[in-house]
Amino acid sequence: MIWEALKLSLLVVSFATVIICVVGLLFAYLLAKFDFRGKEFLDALLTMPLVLPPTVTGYYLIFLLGRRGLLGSFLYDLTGWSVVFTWQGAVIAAVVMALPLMIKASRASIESVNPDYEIASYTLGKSKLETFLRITLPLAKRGVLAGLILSFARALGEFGATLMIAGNIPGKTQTMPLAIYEAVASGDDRRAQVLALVLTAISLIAVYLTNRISRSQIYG
Amino acid sequence: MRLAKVFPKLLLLLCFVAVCGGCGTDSGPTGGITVSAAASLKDAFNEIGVLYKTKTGTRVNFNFAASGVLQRQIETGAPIDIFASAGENQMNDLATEGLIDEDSRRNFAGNELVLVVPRDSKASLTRFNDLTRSEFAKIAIGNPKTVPAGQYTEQVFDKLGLKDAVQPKLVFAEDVRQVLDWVERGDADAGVVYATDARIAGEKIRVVATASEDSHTPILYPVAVVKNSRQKQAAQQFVEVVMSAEGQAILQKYGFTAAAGK
Amino acid sequence: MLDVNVKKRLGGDLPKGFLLDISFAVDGGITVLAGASGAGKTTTLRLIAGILTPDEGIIKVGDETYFDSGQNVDLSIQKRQVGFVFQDYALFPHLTAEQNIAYGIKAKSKTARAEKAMEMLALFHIEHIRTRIPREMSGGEQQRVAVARALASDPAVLLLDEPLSAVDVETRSKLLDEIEAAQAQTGIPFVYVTHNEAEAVRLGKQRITLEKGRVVKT
Repeated sequence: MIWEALKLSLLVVSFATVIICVVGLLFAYLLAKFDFRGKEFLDALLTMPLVLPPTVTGYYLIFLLGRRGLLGSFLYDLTGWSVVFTWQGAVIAAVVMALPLMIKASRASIESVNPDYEIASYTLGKSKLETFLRITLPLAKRGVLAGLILSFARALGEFGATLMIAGNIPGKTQTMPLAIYEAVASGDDRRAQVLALVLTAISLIAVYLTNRISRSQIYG
Repeated sequence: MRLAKVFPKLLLLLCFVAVCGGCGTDSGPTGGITVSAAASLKDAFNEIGVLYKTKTGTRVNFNFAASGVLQRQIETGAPIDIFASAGENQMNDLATEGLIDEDSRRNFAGNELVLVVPRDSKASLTRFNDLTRSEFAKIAIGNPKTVPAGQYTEQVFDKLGLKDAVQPKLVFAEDVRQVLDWVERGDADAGVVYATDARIAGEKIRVVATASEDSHTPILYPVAVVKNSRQKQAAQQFVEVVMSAEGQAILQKYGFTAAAGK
Repeated sequence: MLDVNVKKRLGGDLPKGFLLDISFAVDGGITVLAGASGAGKTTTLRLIAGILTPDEGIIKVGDETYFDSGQNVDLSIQKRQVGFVFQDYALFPHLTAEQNIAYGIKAKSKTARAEKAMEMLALFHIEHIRTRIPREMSGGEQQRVAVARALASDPAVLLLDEPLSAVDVETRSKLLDEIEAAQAQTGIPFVYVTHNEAEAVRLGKQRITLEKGRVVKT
């Protein structure tokens, strides 16, 4: 049963991390390179999950995505399916909670790339997208990678919002943090210890890697 | 410049407030007692807390959470004076570990398990056995491992022979309020909660069945003074207020039944 | 070959800001764009390249109109065939000399690109540093890579923004020789910005001087 939780966590976090990478880079690029009305408001909105209690974010998620939610109702009427109580819901919770970390780190990293490099690329005939992929991103690699690893760790430890939107279903949505909570609350010390150890080990490695990468040489 | 002058005064003011905050405004001998109570007791106990303060002048600090969590807190030495749990298991465990005053223990209330559905649910559900039907895809109950209500629910399912049919559809919540929330929203097709919780949810849900008394061990709410309490006298008074006629009336107002037996 | 006739208000309102109002034409060879610091030389180059946008005016290179406020034409930087050598070179720090040069080469096959890159490396006598990254190059080497990279993209005109300001005096003369040779070989007009009188004299039969945003002498 310990392995079930571990497997589920890895499944959820893998999907979440891929989504966070793409969506996070998108928003980071948008915020770093464009100016538009309401930009700082968007930034503040995207930062909310970092600051609000996870149960509040969970509340918003279920309000939006539940069977009668603002968005969830359409999906349910159309397909009879809802993300609530599914591992997909757990992925969504993980993405929402960890995305701000990715966006913040990536945006700062992208902004720190000397714009002259990008302009040089344009004068050599390369489009904005190609420039982003071949010049900006490689030069922003450290911050982006650090952000991604941090998001991974955050997604792995996500609990409050997940509980609300995915429920605690062993084998289906019981990720490691949920399993640990249950083990502790039900007095199953051995299970709690093993799970906590695994989770801590992974998180430690993640944070260690993040720090190492952030400290490695700058290109300048 | 102005900030530099204001800052030390601000700091002093903050310390003053902090110290004063520590002193209660109550006239009791201490800063109040701390009562850990199951989440399902919240509304009733808040009122009992007012009753207690009126009678003794001592304030009550409440700590509401799942009984399992509260039990763990006491086991790891949290400074609690009273424990009121929604089920005997947690209290029994603590008794075995010698963490409560056996003499002070009382069963102060009972409850019933009810089956609820969203208010506008079109499903026809009149008995627990109907849960096996396919129109009930998601059934929310308290986590049997950590929530007493969930344990009783499992007993009911076992007694009625529903366990295998119902198991794949179950969604566990860590407290009964969450079960209610899911049913209210319609994300769960049905849920099993205490009668007292269903009463609070009111209009948003419909109670469709009550589990018969013989389908589960009696739902008893025990209360006891924690052994390491530093305010035994004040804590004992709290138990007495809970057991008093006025205390019992408050409990029944919120849908609790009288405790069966002791 | 290069016709510039533009106006742009810079740096906010007067008296701090000023109006850039320039009009000149360039035929071939190396044209020096001279003037004191802040006269608007770099701004002019950036306007031609499309990095900045004029308030009004026309910019033409050969038969192509890059900018025409009257006709609502404003080609993106990418579409303009302008090579740009930045003051700090802006070499891509994570790419080798060869990769930097090959970056803008428009050739279909990988081998064609590699060939052209080698050609440019040879032209500037920097084959020996082809696998080095900018951090490992001297100022003079970086400058050569910067010019080679810009020329490799086959521009219609090459703009150089004070390319030798970071290079020591001894190397300067040699680099100037190479720039002149490159211009003679490619045949495209070079617009060379400098505030160094010696360089200006050495290079420019053609000189345009800017002062406070206006052309004062052609």
